[in-house]
Amino acid sequence: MQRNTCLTILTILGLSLGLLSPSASLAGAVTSQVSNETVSILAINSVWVVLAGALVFLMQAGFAMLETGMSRSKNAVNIMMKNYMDLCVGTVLFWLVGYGLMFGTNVTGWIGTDHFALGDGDDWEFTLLFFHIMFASTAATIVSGAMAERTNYLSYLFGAIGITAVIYPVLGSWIWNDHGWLKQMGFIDFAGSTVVHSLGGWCALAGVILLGPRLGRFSESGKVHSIPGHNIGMLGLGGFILWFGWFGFNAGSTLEASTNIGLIVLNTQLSGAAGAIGAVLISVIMRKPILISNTVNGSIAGLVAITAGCATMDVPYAALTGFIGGIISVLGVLLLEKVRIDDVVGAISVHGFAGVWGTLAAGIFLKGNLFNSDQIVVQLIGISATFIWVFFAALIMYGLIKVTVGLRVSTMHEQRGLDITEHGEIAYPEFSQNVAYRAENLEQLQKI
Amino acid sequence: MNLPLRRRAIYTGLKPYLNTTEMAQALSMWETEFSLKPPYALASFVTRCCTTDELRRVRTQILRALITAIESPESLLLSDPGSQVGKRTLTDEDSDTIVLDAKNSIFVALSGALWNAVDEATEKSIIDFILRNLTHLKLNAKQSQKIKDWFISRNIAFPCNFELATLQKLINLNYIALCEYYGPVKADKLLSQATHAVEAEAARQQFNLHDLL
Repeated sequence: MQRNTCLTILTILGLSLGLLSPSASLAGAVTSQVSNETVSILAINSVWVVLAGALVFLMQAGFAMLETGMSRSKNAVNIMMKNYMDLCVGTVLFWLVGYGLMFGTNVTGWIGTDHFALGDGDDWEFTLLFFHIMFASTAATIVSGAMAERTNYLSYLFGAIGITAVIYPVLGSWIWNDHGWLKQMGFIDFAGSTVVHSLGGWCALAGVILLGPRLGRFSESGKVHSIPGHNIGMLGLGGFILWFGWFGFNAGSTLEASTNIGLIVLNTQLSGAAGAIGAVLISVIMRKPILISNTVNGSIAGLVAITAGCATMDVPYAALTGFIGGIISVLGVLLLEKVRIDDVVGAISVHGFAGVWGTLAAGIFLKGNLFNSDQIVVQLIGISATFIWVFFAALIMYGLIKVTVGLRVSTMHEQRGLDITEHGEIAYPEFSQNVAYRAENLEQLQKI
Repeated sequence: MNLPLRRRAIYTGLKPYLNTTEMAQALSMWETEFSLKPPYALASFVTRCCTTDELRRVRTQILRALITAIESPESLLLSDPGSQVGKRTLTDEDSDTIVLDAKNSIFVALSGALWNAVDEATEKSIIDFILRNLTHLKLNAKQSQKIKDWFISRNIAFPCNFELATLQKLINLNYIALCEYYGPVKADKLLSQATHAVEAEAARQQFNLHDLL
């Protein structure tokens, strides 16, 4: 028994190192050592899914860094806090309510009805719950970047609660519950281009429409003022971390240590890379500056786009999907700017628009069934149903928050920066000599 | 342009240069002798207003101020002083000397520092923006008129001592206007520069500058 356990652990370590290290020799050696032994498949699957879940957890750090880097330094603490706490409230709410709605017994095809606040069950159920908590938190955190720099902190968290407890799990029950109506129709969204990313994008769209732009972003005279982020290094590193976490996001969605993980991560990698190339190329063609924000967003859009079809698409099509996703992300940002929607990090474009494209591409480039119009129609139905449910549910939710506790901070808060007004902290106390509000002024400031 | 509106423009243009007595005489003269004459007659009106060497030295500036005031929108004009024909002096409360407390005098200094950092056209736009949004401050009619007059003609003495909350809101309106015209990044920078510029004066008056921010 003990020997078996040791062998299992060795196998798991081997598999993990094989994935994380560029050299597969160590993993190969360890695996061959135990090849003749009986190893619990369930245990291997569990370890793989838990590891993948941990990688998805790391995406939270990526989002936090990316969004913080793209915001002004006077709101850095606030962005970090939003990312930190939406994970926390998302975790608890998804465990309490969301998981049951999403994966509970689904007789109608619309929502699950049991498995709320899961306390007992088999080991595999806990593994799944852990993995899907990470997904729910990812969906919630996408919104924070779009609504950055002017949203009331507690109101934002109420929104995160609504997303993880109701909006995300209801959509998830349609698409990922075995009895969900979209799943029954054959809708393809392997790892969540729609369930996670488009959902995040549409929630963000509803939020920013109700919030309005940041002070001075769009002047009355029609001038657009760019508001550059304060830390490009953080932005870039956030992009790298997100990309790394995406391997767990997509490959973990197999929910088993299967042999197609290689194809999935390769498709993911190619799509992300092609997305960045697409973003750079379209910038060059349009004679726009090749911004790092657009480039990183391009790669993320590529990753978002391939998420739906990463397991069901041939490699060249994955690259094409990512490439187009990157182009869409740049054009989407320009489009939103034109209609005066202020999305601080480009989340609506990267997650919403590229998510739609990726979901459609999963139908168009379906392996062995290319350009099947029936599949494409199903994909379009899923995309439309998602938009209608998510956008209007989020609009109602944020609307209720707006008329009750208030969604937007006052102009005085925006003047001071949310780090001071919402948290009483300054992100860089030692490096803030050339600003109106320094660390030593904190105690002198009157409450507003 | 009707007579009261033209009188407001003349009053706005002359206000920074004439004292109460000179103003009453000038307005009376304008109303009786120049109000029906074409705009080019303003030059001779200004010449007659400049009764001292000091005023003669700034004659061109006065004329330019009058032309600017006449071309300005109604919202940027001081309130109507009323007809001065037959009156000896102007009995406007604005002429009262007010002793400003520390917060109000630092507010004046901070506002001045903010406006000094921008070009003339933007300064005018900022003031216009503030005037359009003064209603949000929920001041009584008298206070509202006084602060409006001060914003229009910034060279005159600050009209009265306002509450700290009002001054905070006025600085915030200034900041919003800066965001509107320069974008929030430059607005933050300008606010920071203005804050540093009046820090020493605030310390001298033992006033916590950040009470205004």
